[in-house]
Amino acid sequence: MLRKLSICLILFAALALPLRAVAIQEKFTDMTAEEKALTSVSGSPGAHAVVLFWSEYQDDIDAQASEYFRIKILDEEGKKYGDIEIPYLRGLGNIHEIRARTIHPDGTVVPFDGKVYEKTVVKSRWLRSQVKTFSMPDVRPGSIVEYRYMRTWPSDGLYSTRWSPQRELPILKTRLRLRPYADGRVHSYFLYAGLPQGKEPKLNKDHYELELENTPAFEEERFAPPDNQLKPRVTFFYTSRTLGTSEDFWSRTGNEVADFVEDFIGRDRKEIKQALPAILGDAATPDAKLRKIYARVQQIENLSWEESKTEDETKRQKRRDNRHVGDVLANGYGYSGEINRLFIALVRAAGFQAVPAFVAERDEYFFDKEFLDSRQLSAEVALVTVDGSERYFDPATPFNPFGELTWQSSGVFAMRAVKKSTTFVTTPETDGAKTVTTRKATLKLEEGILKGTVVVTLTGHEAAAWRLASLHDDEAAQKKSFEDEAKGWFPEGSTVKLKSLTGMRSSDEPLVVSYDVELPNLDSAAGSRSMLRISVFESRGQNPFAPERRKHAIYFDYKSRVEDFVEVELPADHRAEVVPAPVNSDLKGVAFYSKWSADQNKLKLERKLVVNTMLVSSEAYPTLRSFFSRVKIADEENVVVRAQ
Amino acid sequence: MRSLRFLGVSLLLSICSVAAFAAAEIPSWVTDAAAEPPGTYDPEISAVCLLDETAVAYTSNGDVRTRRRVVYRILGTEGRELGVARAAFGKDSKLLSLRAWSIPKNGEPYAVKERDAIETSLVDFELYSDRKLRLLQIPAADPGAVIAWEAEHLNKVYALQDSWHFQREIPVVRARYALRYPGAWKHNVVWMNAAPVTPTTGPDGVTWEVTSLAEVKSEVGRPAARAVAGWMGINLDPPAAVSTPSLRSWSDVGAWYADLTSGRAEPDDAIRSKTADLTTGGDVRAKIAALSGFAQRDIRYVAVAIGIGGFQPHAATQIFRGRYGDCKDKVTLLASMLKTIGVDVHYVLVNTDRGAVRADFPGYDSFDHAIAAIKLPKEVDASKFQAVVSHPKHGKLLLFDPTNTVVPFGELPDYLQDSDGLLVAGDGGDLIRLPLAPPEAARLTVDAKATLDVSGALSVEVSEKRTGWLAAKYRQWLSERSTTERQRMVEERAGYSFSNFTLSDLKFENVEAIDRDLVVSYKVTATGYARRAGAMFLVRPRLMGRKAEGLITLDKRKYAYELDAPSVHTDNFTIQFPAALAVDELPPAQDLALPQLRYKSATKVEGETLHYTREYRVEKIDVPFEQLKELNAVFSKILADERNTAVLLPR
Repeated sequence: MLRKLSICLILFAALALPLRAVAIQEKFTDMTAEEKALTSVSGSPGAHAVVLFWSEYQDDIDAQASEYFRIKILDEEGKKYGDIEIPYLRGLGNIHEIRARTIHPDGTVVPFDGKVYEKTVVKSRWLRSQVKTFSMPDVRPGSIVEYRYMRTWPSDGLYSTRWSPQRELPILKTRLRLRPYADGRVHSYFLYAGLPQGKEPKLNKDHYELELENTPAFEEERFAPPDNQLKPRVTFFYTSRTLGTSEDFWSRTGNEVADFVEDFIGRDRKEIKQALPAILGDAATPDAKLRKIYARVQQIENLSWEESKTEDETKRQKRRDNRHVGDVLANGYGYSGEINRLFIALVRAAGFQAVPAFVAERDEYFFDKEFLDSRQLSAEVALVTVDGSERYFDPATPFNPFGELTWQSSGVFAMRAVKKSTTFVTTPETDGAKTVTTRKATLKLEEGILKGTVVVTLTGHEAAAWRLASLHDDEAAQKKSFEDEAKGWFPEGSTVKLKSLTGMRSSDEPLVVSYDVELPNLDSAAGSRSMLRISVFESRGQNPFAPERRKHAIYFDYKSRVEDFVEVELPADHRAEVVPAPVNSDLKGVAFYSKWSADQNKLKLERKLVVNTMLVSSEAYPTLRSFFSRVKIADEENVVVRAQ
Repeated sequence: MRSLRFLGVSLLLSICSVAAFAAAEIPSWVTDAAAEPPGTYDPEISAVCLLDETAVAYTSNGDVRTRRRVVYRILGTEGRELGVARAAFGKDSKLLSLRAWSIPKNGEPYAVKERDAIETSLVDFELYSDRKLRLLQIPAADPGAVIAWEAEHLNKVYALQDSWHFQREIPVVRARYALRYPGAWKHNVVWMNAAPVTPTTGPDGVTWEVTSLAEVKSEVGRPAARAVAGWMGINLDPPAAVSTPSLRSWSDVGAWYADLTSGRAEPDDAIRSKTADLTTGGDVRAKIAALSGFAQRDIRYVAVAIGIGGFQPHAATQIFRGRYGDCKDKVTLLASMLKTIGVDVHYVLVNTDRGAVRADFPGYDSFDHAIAAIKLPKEVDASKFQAVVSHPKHGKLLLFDPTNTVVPFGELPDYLQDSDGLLVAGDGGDLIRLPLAPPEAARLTVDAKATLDVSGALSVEVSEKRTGWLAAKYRQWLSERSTTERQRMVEERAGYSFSNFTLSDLKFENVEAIDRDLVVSYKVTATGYARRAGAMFLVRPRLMGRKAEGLITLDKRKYAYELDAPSVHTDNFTIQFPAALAVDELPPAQDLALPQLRYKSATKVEGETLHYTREYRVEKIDVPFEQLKELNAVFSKILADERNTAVLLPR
């Protein structure tokens, strides 16, 4: 996965040239019989267009690159791919020598002789992001459009390169080449992940080559692992030092991070010692002490989570940079890492062993130890030894519960950053029983409408998600969000009024929302009987896995459960003639339980859906789909009601 | 050695979003507006506009200097989104200055300098437009703050006309429009959706002021904002002609556009040759259809708008050479080609928001789209087309939208029906009403034959046939999706009707053949379709499909509702059930009617087969506010009918 470059001779030749050498450019070619016959692409059925050939030759010595695209238009919709946009950063590069043409199946060639427009994406004092745009002539289904251009950039800098080999359109052939810069003092590396088996950038004389065939269009699916994780990625970069082996890299990263963090924490800082007694108060047990410290640290204003501010506002605040944990405590503000380090400092001062841990969050990528990019370790938490075992704390995420990690940080690799003894550990997964959504409805049937109250209690990651999403919202905005959420459960035409909301600004209490509701459209007629659907929270529920075909694995962000309790009072002279049979389905990873009951004119439903897994292979999809179909069938069950 | 540079775009963008410190001198018009008492508003209102002032000064050569001043009070966190001052500019609209201020709830005020602005191209559907947007982030735009911005422009206008839109999506405490023009000029105004106010005249010219305006909230199915929010149209009238025209009537607007398009449709040899190729053989009708199809399908939609290019089409020769253009370009090329066979075409300017064109104010900015009016030769039977208008002067005109690639020749897209358009003909023009197609012109007929077994499992063969705008909409939906996406979407839709199911044999017919019926067929097998309840089998006769539009939230609603365009939906479903079962009870039939729609359904049993039939007809689009409660009641009854079940018992 890693290859060091060893080219340094080319530099002298390049420097000797007064002008840039012309980079290798692909030649325009006629439509082949095979291309002419192409009407669809296996692996991407119904694709509107296909990239027949994508070629890029990047020459870091001459600071220029040529890029070439050859695209076959397969249907009417595909004609939109005749509109071309080439982005670049003005001042940091330019686009030249755009050549383009359209080739028809009869061999006719229509050269592009139109205007290339310059579109401003963003222009400011610091940046000018531009797009060169043009439209290919006479594009029809069956045509091939091909274009190429040169990209140049200032030759006084070295820039990293990132290729995304999988795109919106399928690509039959990809050829990416890179001629690296080398002067003996810089080192360069390829990092890549997700490439097809046996494919990697390979050295060919003075340049690297990566060739791919038949890359399908990327398909998005619900409940899939992060898109970035599913798509292949290739990064090339320069560095002033060698990376070494994977072990070397992470060991050195650990040492450097430990140095940096420990320097910020310091040893026996007097501000920390002085503050500690007041923070601990009368806490006597280890748990009580940690809770006191945790609560105090969570009060620090977290600059990583504050609303974006203009430079003017920031200047007005006259905030000084925190040089060490003492400053964080004294100033009362800090970025997430600084707050975490303050927690470690206080915990150590209270007599605990504590080390920083850098966590590879899993919301965008899954950690790959061979992908030597320290930015994979995107969050910083604390590991504290309590009663002989290490516990994780994340005091720097607003309202994060004591002793818990965010879902992004749970069940992932983390680096214990200890000088000269860096180790990798796996953070604990959060028990699904801690993330529970409990929905209780107490309703009365009046003239076909269920009226009453609903109380929703959220804990764990569900509560945390709401708290963070509403971090900067006022009461009115929060009310609207919760009402909209509830309206999404209930039948159309429902009235939902939020009555109270508690626990939004707490880390340990559950989040409790109560509503007054009026729910129409849950009953239906069958002659003298009526059918009443009392699974009110799932009246709009759909099987999230209705499609039969699945490409990617199924990925739930975290384990969780939903527990519903519904009580319905019918008019006094009404009775349930038949209640549905109970349902109990347990696949271990997912489980469902539903039970209806009736007593006089009272109906009850207890329902529980448990997701106790996070990753399900695509091979197990039919089983999962069938499970959720059964859930939907159960949720659609009616109680048969008759007037006496 | 070269320096190492690792540049993150996100970092750069975040740097761009900051504004530099500047001394805070707050203009008196801001502090005066900020002194306005807080007022009482619904808790959902997140901001109020304290002042929205537009000052417009015309010069004798028709150039216009404008200054807009806006002051907001932020009431809630959602009001923060107003904390960016935005000013559009372009080739014919020079932005002279953009400034902003903020008075936080606590602390000293801020002034923001223009050098801290960022710019971006103002493109939506266009490949390129010279229009750009300058943005200034306003500091401390938090609840309790008063923020303000001012933009000054020097505009080259295309007509001596303006429109002042004073009612907005948030309450407006005070809005003002000040008009100055050379001494001998005159003005006249037309008020829309608001009572006229008397202007005052002073050193700044003529000033209109309106106060205490309610918000115009977004509502599902609401008519276009121009049709419901208050605005004023202004016409200027110089005593002698100036280089910029005055538009006193729709005929003037038509003449202005005729002048803009003059000569653009001139064909060259290439166009003549292609026209000849496309019209070999066939009668005139076939020739018109062939050339219309070429403009519709073979000219790719690409918009390039620079200055007056937002209104003025490119030359037909240029459009033909590149085989691309926008709506008016397509009309121009079609006009050019039809001209070579002796058929006249007129531009028709329309607005895709129904109700946005107001007959009482002939405004050149009333439109956002152009279609063609093809003057039908006498030998063509106009009765064969739906989209025909009879014009007293120009005879039978067939309206055709070459931009919409899925609407057949002879029909109009649903969003253009029953709205007003400006027919540009000769040296003038007049408003015409675009025809509303009868319900029968757009049909969805679903035939489904199902068999139920004793376990409650159902297998069903479904055929859906669509015509008219219903076919066009579905074609558009299909054309944007790959085969995999189509299958997935149809399965997800089936998921609304069936729980544990498999969908197979999915076929689409005539997706590309837009003048033929669009047919979709598939099979579904679903377990647990019939539910057991004791000895009873509960079977929903309505196998699939939903007819009612979404129930309308009436709480706080203010405006009328627009239904989908007229159409007829017919379901013919049969469910053959096992001989061991007999029907105990059937759901009641329904017959519901409003002036705008009608719904009839019935469930019958014949032998061992349940027959469910229904028809849903939409006759008219507009439902007045006063009828919304009734409309909701009908929708609710339709939803109930769709849920209803038959009860079957063992024999």
